[in-house]
Parts: sequence; C-alpha cells; structure tokens
Amino acid sequence: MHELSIAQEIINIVKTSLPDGHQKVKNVKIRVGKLSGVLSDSLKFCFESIIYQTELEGALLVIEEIPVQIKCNECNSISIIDDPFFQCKNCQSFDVQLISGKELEITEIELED
Amino acid sequence: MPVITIERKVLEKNDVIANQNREKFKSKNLFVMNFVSSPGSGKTSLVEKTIEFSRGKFKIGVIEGDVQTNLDAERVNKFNVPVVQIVTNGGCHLEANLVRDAYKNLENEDFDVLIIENVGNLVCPSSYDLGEDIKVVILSTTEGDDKPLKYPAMFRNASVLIINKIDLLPYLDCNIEEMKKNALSINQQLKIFEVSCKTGEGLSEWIEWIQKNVGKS
Repeated sequence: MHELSIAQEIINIVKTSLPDGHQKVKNVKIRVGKLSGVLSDSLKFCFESIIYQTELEGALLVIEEIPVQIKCNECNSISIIDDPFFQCKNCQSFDVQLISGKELEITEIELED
Repeated sequence: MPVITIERKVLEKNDVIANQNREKFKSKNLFVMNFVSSPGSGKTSLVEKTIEFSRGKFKIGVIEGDVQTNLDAERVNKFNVPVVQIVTNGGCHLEANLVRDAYKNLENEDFDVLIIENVGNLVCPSSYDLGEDIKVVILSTTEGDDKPLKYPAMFRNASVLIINKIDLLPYLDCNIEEMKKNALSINQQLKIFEVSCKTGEGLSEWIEWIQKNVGKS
C-alpha cells in the first residue's frame, strides 16, 4: 500500500534533481533492499501510474534488488540470507549484524541523448 | 547518455523530520516508544494497561494513530492522560511529520513516556522512522507462532516483543516457545515479555523495564 507514497517521493526527488532544459528522462535507477518492506513490482506499477501523461511519461524505473547480507559477530563471516533466519551460514550463530538489505535509495537518473 | 548521479535516500524527507522529532523528545527527556502490530493484537489494551500499572511510577502521554475514528483516543482519554489522535484517512502507517504535528498538542503537558500507537499493520510502519527511541512489536497468541517469520523486517527493527493474550494459550494451538524461537532467530537482541492485558499477568515486569529507561533518553 505505501508503494504509492514511495513512488511519489521518488518522482519528487527526480524532479528537483533535473537541470533546467533537461532532455527527456529515460531511466530512474534505484536500489531496493529485500528487507525494505517495498515490493518492486508494485513500486514499478505505482511509478508508471503517477507519471502517466506527465513530462516524465515513458521513464523506466530500473530496480536493483539488494540481498539481505549479515556479518557474524562471532566468526566474522559474511552470509547472504534468503529465508528470514538471521543466522550465520558458517557457524550457525544468531549473533549477527545486518550489513545490507534495508536500502531504499535513488542512485541515478539517465536522460535521453 | 547523460547521467545524473544522485545517491539519495527515498525517505530522506521523513528521516530528516524523524531526527528533528528525536532531538525534540530528547530535549524534553522523554522515553518514546512506537507500538506496532497487526490489527487486533491488543495495542490499545496495552496502552491502557501500561497507563494503569504505571500510576505513581511515571507519567504517560499518547499519540494514537488510526485509519479512521477517534475511538482509541476516547478509550485512552478515560485514563486522564494527555492524548491526541491522528486519523490517516486510509494511510497504512504513520509518518514523522504527522507525529511532529500531533506532538505540538502535547508539548505543554507534563509526562515522561510518550507512546505512539501506530496503524495496525506489520509491513509499512517498519519503513518509517518517527523519531522514537524504540519500536515495540506486539504479537498475540491468536495470531500463530509463525508470524515473526512472515514479517521479518518488523521483528528485526523492534527492540521489544510483547506477546499478548497468554491467558488464551490453553485454548489455542499456538506454541509460545516456538513463537519466541522464531522471533529470536530474526532478532537475537529482542527483549520479550509475555503478558495478558485481560488478567494483568506479566505487566509488572513490563512496567519495571520501562521505568529503567525513563529519563535516560
């Protein structure tokens, strides 16, 4: 549900980042962590719905999904986890810190030539 | 192809206001808790019981968040504590600016602990910092012991888990040990309290824990 307000935030940031007299926006690149609570397909749909018949129409939201990565506080190993267990894959400890997966960032705007 | 590199957080506007809220709360020496859960787990009951059991120990102010109605603020108002209601009109979570504006109505009141009761939803509220010290996730025994695994972001971001409705355990298939194991597998640091807002069981321990945090923010 909150993908709509997130898509609106992305569009606000894009609009304020564009220089005067800019070319048409081709791609907006964002990074979405798997633990960010945002569903990529839903976000794309909301983005396209908002830009329909505006100056941004035709721009694509390009999403880089960031995996959930943890670092073990006991053996220092880094693991990527796919299931919700925050457990070191090397030593099975649950004493781990999150190093990626919560991202929700705009990285680049690509304009047409 | 011309490229503009920006590297900005999508929710930066919210985060900036959340940090302003945090500074403000700190200057008032408030301990601020953001109550999050699915609908019907007992958030408002926990607010009521926390007020009731804290009498004579510390003072509480409340911001109530709901999609519609002032019913929760009316419930809390019966306890004669400062309370303000946010109605999101369909919005599925509270945002930092809503809390900032609501707090303006409480600023001149005298209390030590601010409870923000978020909209009942285990997904969206985990993405929005409100300026709180901690998130408290409430999970009731009727929701099943596998719930933490289904909503890992919320359980990872919370500092405290309140398992409510433990008086119903004899009638349910919920395995409370399994529930705790699942929650701790997501967040080993979670402080867990088992309570019943109906019978009052476990609430004294919860109040003692809050009291330890009062004035420390």
